[in-house]
Amino acid sequence: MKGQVLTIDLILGLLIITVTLLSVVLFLPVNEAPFVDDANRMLVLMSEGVPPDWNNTTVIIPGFLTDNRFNATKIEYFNNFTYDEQRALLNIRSDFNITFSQNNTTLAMCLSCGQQPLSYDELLPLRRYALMGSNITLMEVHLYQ
Amino acid sequence: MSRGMYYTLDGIFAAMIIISAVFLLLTFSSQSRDAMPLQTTAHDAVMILNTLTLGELNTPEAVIVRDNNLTNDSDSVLRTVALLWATNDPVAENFTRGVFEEFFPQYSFAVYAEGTRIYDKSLTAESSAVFISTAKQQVSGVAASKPVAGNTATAFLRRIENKSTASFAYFGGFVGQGNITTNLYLPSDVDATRVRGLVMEMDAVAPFTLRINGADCGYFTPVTANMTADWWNISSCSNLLVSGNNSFRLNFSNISTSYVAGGYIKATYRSDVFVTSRNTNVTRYDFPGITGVINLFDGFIVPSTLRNLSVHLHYSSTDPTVITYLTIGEKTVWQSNQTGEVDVILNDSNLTYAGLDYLFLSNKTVPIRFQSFNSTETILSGGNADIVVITDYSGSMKKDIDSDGLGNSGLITNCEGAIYPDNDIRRTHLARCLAKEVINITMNASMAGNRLWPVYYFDDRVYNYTNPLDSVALTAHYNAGMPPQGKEKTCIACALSEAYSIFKAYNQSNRSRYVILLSDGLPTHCTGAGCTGISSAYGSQACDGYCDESGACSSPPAICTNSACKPAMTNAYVVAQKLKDDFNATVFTIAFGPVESCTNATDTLIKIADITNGTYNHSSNPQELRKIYQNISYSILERITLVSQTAKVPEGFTPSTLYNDSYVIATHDQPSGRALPNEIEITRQTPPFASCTPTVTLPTQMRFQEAHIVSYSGQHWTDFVSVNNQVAFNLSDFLVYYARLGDPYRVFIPIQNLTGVNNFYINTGDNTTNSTGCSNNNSLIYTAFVPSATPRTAVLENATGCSWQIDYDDGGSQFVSIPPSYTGTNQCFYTGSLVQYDSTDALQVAVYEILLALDFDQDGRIFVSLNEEDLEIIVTKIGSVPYLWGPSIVEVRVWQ
Repeated sequence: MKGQVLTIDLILGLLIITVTLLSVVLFLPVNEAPFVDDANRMLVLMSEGVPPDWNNTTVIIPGFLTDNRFNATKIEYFNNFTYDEQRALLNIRSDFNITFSQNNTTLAMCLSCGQQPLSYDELLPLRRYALMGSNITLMEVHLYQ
Repeated sequence: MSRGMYYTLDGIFAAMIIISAVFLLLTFSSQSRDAMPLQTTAHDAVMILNTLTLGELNTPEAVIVRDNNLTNDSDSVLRTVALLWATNDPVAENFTRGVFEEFFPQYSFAVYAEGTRIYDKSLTAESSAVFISTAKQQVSGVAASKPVAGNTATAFLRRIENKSTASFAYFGGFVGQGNITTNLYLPSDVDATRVRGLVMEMDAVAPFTLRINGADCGYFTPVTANMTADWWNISSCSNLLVSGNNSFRLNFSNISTSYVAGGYIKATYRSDVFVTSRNTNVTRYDFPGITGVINLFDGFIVPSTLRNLSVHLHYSSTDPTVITYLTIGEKTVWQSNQTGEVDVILNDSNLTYAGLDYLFLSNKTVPIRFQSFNSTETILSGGNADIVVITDYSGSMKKDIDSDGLGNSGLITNCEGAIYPDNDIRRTHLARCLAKEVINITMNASMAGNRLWPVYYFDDRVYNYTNPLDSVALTAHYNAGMPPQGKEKTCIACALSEAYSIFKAYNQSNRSRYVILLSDGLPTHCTGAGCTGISSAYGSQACDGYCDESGACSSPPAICTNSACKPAMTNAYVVAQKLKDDFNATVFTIAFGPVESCTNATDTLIKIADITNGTYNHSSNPQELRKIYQNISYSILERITLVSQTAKVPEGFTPSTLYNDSYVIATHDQPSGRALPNEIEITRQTPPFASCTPTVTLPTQMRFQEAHIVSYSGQHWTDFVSVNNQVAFNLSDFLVYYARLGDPYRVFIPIQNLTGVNNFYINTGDNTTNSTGCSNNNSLIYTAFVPSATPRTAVLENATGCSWQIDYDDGGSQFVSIPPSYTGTNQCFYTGSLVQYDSTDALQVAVYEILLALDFDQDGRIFVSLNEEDLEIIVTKIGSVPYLWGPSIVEVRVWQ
């Protein structure tokens, strides 16, 4: 009898552990931590970059601002890089896409900043505001995997 | 319950805990990720509002705000929100709404300043928000219910009118002898109509007539008193003045008294010139014109490091025996017997070859002496002393110097090797050596002209030796002429009477007369003419001598204190007084040996010295006595110069002329006091000091350019001046014997030594050990700069101006609207009785500050007169000049 109890107890214990592990595996997002890190790295775009007057040949870290306003020239410089170069400059592993809009109207600029997601498992939107000229401009970044 | 069941339930419970923890972790992780856009929105909103300017904003509220003059288009929107809040402007809420609703329509938000909610738009209640993002920004210069912008003003004088200032023409320490000419310079904008006063102060001893620019100004009779100046108001002659140089000529009648021992002519006038243009690297001394006998004692000032010196001498002499010379400091830089008109320029090479040390002369008042007498008068600065050396050869003189024991006998003449080192030497031997000290010092080659007579009383007789100009013979006489042993009684009156007879027999008017009286005892005899007369013969015996002829004392304690010797003492005083009255003779007395214990003896010698302005000394030590004799001899040489500032000119003198185009030009480094932009130059004189140690309070808001003491020294020399314990002038730096030195009337005071309260010390003298006090007429004359502009005022709330009542130093008063456009009702006062203005009005504060600067004596009266167009108050009302209060915190909250 004592041996029978121990067998049932063992079976129940194994069952509980199995259920717990399955739950964690099923509900945790895939590669969540690196995804958030990439989001933080994208924030560098809300700076002047390094050097502050960087261009396609001098860039070390890309940033879109000059005197706290979006600088269309810098954005265009970034747009000129290939997608892989852009990811390398931003030091991210996730895919991304950037759009600019004013008053809910998308601007025809930075059209090659990142690439549109065809499908994704995870999507993280980032919204940053700054002046471009004297207009409030929304820069929307989508990170996805 | 079975044990197995218990374990089963326990395991299920543990599994539920683990699964719940995992789900919670996943939930919060998801929420954090969803909140990322919101987290940055508040920060972005603050950045945008801090970047976007009011001028770039086109909301209807922005138009309203721009129209209220509170802000500038360049102000950020965030600062504008803060300014509207600080001033309790009701448009603050609508302005903020316009900004946020346009740009962030999808969020709930609120804006706070220092915790006070200015505006909020709540799509959901802030209290129920899941995520709240906040960002803060400091805004400087704003605070709740405080003005955010003020006014600042500055004031400066566009021009001045009727500045009260003065020009001086100075006479040196001794300017003579003859008719004297000096020049007074008036600026180009000053003529007779602008002269407010003309005064003359000088120490002269004889009447004179004054001519200004060739026209007669009157006849002036000074009150004769040593080192005392007379003061005359000659403003009635000011109509004779012109712009530029003005000639003042003093014509005397008697050549011997035709001199000025310090003084000045001062013209007070009104000027419109801020600063007199001058080359501050150059100091020029102009010689006065002298027609008669050139006899000048003066000084010139080198206010910094001397680089170059140039001297122009223009004079004429008529006698080839006259040596004309110029000394600068103690160096003779020019010496000539050339006759006729002499015009010579001495340059650096001439002057340095003569021994001038420019570094030594830097930052000093340099004495200057120019003389051109004929040969019979030059003796005044060489040797004109008649000296009688009286030696006691009474019986007591055979004793040794420090006791009543008999001294060594025999004739000993070796002073250096045998007599001075011997403290027991016989008194007669030592007396011989001491007399030879006098000969060596007073009759050396450079003192040719001094005369000396030895006189003795011995064996109830008085002797003299007459070969007064031959120092060799006199020395030989002392070596062998008298016996080694004294004898008989003491008749001091007889010896003084013999000196009187010698002065009378060899009387010359330009001699200085001195008696050196050595005695070891009290007087025992009167003269042959009795105790109230003078005669070199002994009269009746008045008392017993201190010691008898054998050397044994009689009864000294009694006669040293009783009245037995009084007649002989009185007789000595009578003769001393006659020497003083008839020959202005000075008697130096020396108590020899232990005589100081005998009261009557010392009293006699002290009183004789007092009667004749001499000195009394005593000692029993040979070396000390030697020093006493040397000092007396040097003192005689220095006292010769007592009369030498005045040349005693005989009849038929040969005239000489000094032309007043002669000069000394000193080129030196830039002195520290020079005019800066926006300054007014003024020259001021303190009241007479009436003391040798005056305390002078000077205005502290001035910046001094130069300062000097004017010192009347009469026949003496101004030899020492200090300010605040710093030596400003020491004549003995140049030479301890003053005879060949100049006597400056103006003494340079380094401006860096001046403070608000200044303690001066002024002294005159004839040598380094003799002080003759100072004049009560001395004063300080200084040139200083007063600011003609004020710094910007602090930021103040108002700037309206005022109608001012302003008092002037000359007694006038004026009403002035400042700025001229002001027509309001504000009343302000800057008067002797009331100073009143609004301290919150930038215009009024600026005006007050410049009036205060122009009122350097702070008596409520300014020293320039103002017309409305003269005092131009430049008001720079800089809008939005921020105050320093704050900063205030503006906070933006965004939530969902």
